[in-house]
Amino acid sequence: MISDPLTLLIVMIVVLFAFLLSGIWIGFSLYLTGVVTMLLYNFTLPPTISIWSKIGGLLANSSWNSLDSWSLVALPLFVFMGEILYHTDISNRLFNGLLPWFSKIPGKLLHMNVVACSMFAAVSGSSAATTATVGKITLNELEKRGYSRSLSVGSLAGAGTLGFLIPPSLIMIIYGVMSNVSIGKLFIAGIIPGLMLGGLYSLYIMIAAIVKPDVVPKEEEKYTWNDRLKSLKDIAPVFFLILLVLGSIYLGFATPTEAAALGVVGSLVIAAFFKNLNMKNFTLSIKNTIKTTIMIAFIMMGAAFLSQVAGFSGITRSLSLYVAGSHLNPYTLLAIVGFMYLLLGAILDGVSMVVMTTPIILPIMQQAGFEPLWFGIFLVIMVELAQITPPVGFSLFVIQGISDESVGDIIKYSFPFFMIMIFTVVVLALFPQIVYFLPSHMIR
Amino acid sequence: MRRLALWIDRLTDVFAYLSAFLLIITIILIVANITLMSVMGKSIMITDEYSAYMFAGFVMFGLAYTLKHNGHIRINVLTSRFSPSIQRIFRIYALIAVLIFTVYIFYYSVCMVYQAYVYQMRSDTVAQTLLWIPQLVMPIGFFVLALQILSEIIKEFSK
Repeated sequence: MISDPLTLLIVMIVVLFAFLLSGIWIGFSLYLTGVVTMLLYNFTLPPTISIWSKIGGLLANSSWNSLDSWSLVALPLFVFMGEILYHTDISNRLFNGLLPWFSKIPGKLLHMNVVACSMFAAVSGSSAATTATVGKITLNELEKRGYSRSLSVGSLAGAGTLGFLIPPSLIMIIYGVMSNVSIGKLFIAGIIPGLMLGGLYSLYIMIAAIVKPDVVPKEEEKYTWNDRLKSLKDIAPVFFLILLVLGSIYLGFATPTEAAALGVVGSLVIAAFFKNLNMKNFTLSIKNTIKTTIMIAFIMMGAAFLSQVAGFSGITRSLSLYVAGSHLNPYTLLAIVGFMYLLLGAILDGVSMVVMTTPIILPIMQQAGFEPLWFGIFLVIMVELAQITPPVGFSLFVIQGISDESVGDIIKYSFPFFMIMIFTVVVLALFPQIVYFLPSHMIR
Repeated sequence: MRRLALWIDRLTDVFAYLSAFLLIITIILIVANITLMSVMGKSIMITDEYSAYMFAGFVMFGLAYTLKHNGHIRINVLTSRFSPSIQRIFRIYALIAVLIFTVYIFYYSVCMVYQAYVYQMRSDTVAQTLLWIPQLVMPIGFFVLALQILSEIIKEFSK
């Protein structure tokens, strides 16, 4: 029996990692760790109630409460929307539509990954979906035209992660639900940092193309303004969806969940328009939506239970008090937390990282003077970094699947983009106004 | 025994269809609500509440299907380094551990629903829904999940 909350916290972390590393599914690991922590905690219960029924009651209630949530309904809807779009011709159209626009910029088509990913990220909630959808066209096309492999793979790895930062974003929905921050505000707050990150990627590509001209093929592809005008009809559907989803949130016309439902209908219309809407694609999309959403939801249920246990046994409060008592400089604290996320990102996926740490870390950060909205954006970028950190970087596996490059090479190629992300985090920490600007101008 | 596993797999698929059905109904409900709001200025008052119930049903009914199709993620950086026979032991250990847990949470979700039924608990919304009705998805979902874990254990042993 342990009564000191900080000792209990350490035991809890050890138990959690024992379950995780022994190969128990992440959601179950979280649940089981909660049960074990409850058993170890020095409870004073009335003799009529057994500890097992106490835990059982808490289990059932916290699981129900985490599912009975209107905001979470947005999760399957955005996943579904992304799945429908993945099965359409949209990546091809995006490529063709963007093709005529880059012939004059240094780095030419290498910007394709950045721009196509940013655009697709604005209709998709996940980095894996963005990377897969854009990458399945661009990597081949760029190789065929003789562009540098390292830059095309690296920029795909970097820009693909914009899927989480540029709204809609599954990570933001999850963080919003766990922290009670408005999901609509989180979405809107992600736009400027996302575009800034994309801009820095493009800047890097330009510099690389000027310093080493051989990364870009010699022969010119000529495009007239007529070609450019014609290309607009290929990108118009994506703009229409972005306007529908983000516009309705920004103008206060719809909540994120409602915008997601509109997005599903919009993407079905686009699929019908491209003639990709058939029974096979539709059932496949639904199957994948079920699997992806429920995987995430089950992890959230387990994490909600574990965080209740942590609150119950005083772990959350003691840790906040402990950190507050140590009088750390807020930026030192932020650096420590950032470093911890980099380590965690090496073995956990983004969703697990957010649901496991938010309930415990957020109160500490708030106490140190960081706004929950700002911390959400910080967390999203940390998750993006985790996506391209070995050995468990989901984007790495996605790219490996579509490019036949070894994971080691992909990591090497994406390293400059990794550093750009870290730079962006530092800039956002020094100038938090970048995050607050758009949300403070929202209609509602 | 293999027969039993086969039947369980089929039951799981039936519940996956129910999940898909709930998802589609949710989309229709929300879109209908938005249309009504913008055209007639009226709202289906229960959209938020019932979408959340249907989401709960969607998740609970699909848990077993997700397990069957390896949708739930696990960390195997460590276990994948062992020999195949030791990996098998780890798989069986994981399955048995989660089976015990699932039976436990199933039992207490039955208790929760039973209490909501006995005390006739209602939601504090306009609809005043009797809570035990939507909460029923919890014991049902965990029951199917426990069966599916059992089916996986049978498949593991008959390999």
